[in-house]
Amino acid sequence: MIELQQVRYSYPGADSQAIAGVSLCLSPGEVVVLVGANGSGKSTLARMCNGLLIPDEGSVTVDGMDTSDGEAAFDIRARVGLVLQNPDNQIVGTVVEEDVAFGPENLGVPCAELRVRVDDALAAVGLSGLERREPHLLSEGQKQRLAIAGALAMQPRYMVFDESTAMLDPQGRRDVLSVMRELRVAGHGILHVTHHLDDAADADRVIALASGAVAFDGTPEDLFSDVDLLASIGLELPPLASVATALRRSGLDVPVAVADAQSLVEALWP
Amino acid sequence: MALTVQSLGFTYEAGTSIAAPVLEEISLQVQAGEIVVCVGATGSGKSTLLRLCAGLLKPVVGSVLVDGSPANTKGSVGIVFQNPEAQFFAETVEADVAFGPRNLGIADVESAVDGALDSVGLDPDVYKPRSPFTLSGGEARRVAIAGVLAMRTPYLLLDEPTAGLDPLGRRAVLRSLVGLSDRVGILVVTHDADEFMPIADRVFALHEGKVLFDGKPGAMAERPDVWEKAGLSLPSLVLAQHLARQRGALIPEVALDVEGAARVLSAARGVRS
Amino acid sequence: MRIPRTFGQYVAVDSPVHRLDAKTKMGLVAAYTVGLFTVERFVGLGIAAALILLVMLVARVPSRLALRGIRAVAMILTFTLLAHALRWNPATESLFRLGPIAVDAGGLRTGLFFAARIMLLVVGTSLLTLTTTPVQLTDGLERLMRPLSRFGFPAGDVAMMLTVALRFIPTTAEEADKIIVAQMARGARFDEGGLLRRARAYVPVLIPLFVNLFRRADELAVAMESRCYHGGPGRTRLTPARMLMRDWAVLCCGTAALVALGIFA
Repeated sequence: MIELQQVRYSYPGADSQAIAGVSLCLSPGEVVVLVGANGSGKSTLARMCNGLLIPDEGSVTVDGMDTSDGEAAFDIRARVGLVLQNPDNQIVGTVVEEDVAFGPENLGVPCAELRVRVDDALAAVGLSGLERREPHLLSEGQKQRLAIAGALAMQPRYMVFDESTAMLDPQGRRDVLSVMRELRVAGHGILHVTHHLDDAADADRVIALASGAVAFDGTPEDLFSDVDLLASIGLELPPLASVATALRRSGLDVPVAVADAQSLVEALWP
Repeated sequence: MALTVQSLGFTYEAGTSIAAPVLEEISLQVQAGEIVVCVGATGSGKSTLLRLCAGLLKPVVGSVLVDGSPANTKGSVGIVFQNPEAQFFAETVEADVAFGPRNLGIADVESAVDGALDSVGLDPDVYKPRSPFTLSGGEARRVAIAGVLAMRTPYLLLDEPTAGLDPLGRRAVLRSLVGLSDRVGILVVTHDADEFMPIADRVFALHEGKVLFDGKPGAMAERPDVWEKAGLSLPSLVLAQHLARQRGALIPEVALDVEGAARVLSAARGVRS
Repeated sequence: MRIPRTFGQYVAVDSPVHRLDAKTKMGLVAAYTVGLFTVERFVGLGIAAALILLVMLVARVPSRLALRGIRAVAMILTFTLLAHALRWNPATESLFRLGPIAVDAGGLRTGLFFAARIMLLVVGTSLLTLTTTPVQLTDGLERLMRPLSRFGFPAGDVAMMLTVALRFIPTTAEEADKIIVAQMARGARFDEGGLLRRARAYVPVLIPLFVNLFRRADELAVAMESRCYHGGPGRTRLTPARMLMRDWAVLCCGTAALVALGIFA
């Protein structure tokens, strides 16, 4: 389990705290979506989960290991994969397989096992066959799946996605989201940082962040029903959920956190 | 007064490393004062079309005419590329927005800058002295748009103008576009039609370099076949109404925005039960 | 402004030369360079040229590409030749005379010798980059530099830096293209005016290019750290570059031949 307890953090030289007292947890096999407007501290929080940033106060532990313990740093980073927004900025290798191998190479994984890990990771994201391709010849969606494979090759238990779908076209976005769903089925704990509330509709839990503090922690249904709260933290209901909200006001019984058009229509015409 | 594309065809020269989408027989018009939205999947030729309209590429066949004369880069058409904030270079917003009008030798640069910032909803007095590198996502995007508007171009082309912004940023950009549309002819290309359908006067769908559909957004919403052929997913609201129809709901006309869709669906539900 | 999209000039064909380890080829190039500089007679250069021709044939490298490097040093070659051959109003007999300028036979010989040496050097070293990928080169370099790390030289980091630089050349080139087009659309002109004005026109391209590069570097550092990069020892490699029997054989025989060439010719 990744556990944050009363975490506070300010960037060097900043007046205000980027994270002002946050507690949350993430278990394997669970999808938690972390939403918030730009500047709410989402990305900072994502970087705390694998020990890239160490809290000024409070603690972050990954399966019991404290991120402030320097000895555990590599264990923690191998256990918590981080995928960032811009796929171009996280690919290190000059060909696909070399990039996937980068993490485990750093961990000193022996050559024979490296091969297996690289092949498995590429298969998991559907990029098998492109081992020798140069990254800049991939589509944006493929690049992002390559970045995911690079994290998976370290065999993590948890995956943190920091706005990893924001720069993709609809097809690329669908592909990455479907990889995320498969990871969840495979038992990974997933923290998905986003400002798209659509991504939150089928999450196990949603946490909304505003000015570095937790403004909401609960089910998507409860968050979607609280339009005032959403407005106050600079978020907007996705169009379908807005329609669902309007329908509920006129007395129809539909769920407010609708993930797709199909489920809305099925609720109206069962 | 219009931006007119006539039987346009384009092929990238063989041997370039860019994937080579070919445009064939494209004809369309953007009238002054309307918002036209071009939807198409990645690789459909949208971006090439935009560059041709801006005069950055020369047509191989056919023509692009701006109020009667061939498109050029001397200020008749403004183009806002994807993630335009990645081209900021000046120390202040004022200097960055002034870059275009200065290059074109516009007489009153100062008022051009003020006017452009105003029209994207940013107070010139507040924003002019700021560094463009410290703006929020939505502000930066709007400053970049202002940098093009300041050239006083009668037509504005935008490539994915809301991509990567948070909800507040997206709404601010959309509001700016609607506000501009009474003075400027706007052409937006996007692969994500959801938020542009409600503000569009006309939509056309591009697929493999050809126009699949050209008409009112309402008419496009009635054609799931076009969306499918173009490799696009229907906007979620439109899809919901089509699915409702499949279940026997009576929906005379598909609505494009939230209020409309809610009205249509609740009425349909009432009719059936 | 055009930045080459593929760095170096690697020719992707399969040949015995391509299959040699990068370290072998680097060693041979070093021995070849030393040999070339100790050769004193034309016959030595002739043998070197024959060797190069042989390697070119075995490596299946188009001669056009192999000889391309000569064009780049054409100025230096001309200068070398003229500096040696031309005399100003000499008292001695000369081959050819035009007013006070004369061509000296001995000087011409020396000039030709030096020019030929430079040409052979250029072609020989370019065979290395033509048959070895940039990654293999940096890997080889890392291995060769490793003894230096005992004295605190960050061999691993330097090699990683080179690899990352190579990886980002195409990305940066693409970005430069995008920014140039965008600024052109804002009325910037890169083809008008004198040299100074043209250079100044690139300021609005270079600033955003560098700003973006720094942002990129920041994020890349985050990504690399997240994947446990530490720059220290203990890294393994997916495809370790190993010196095989044939590498040692080629390296030893080649070096011996080149040393002999240097001593006897």
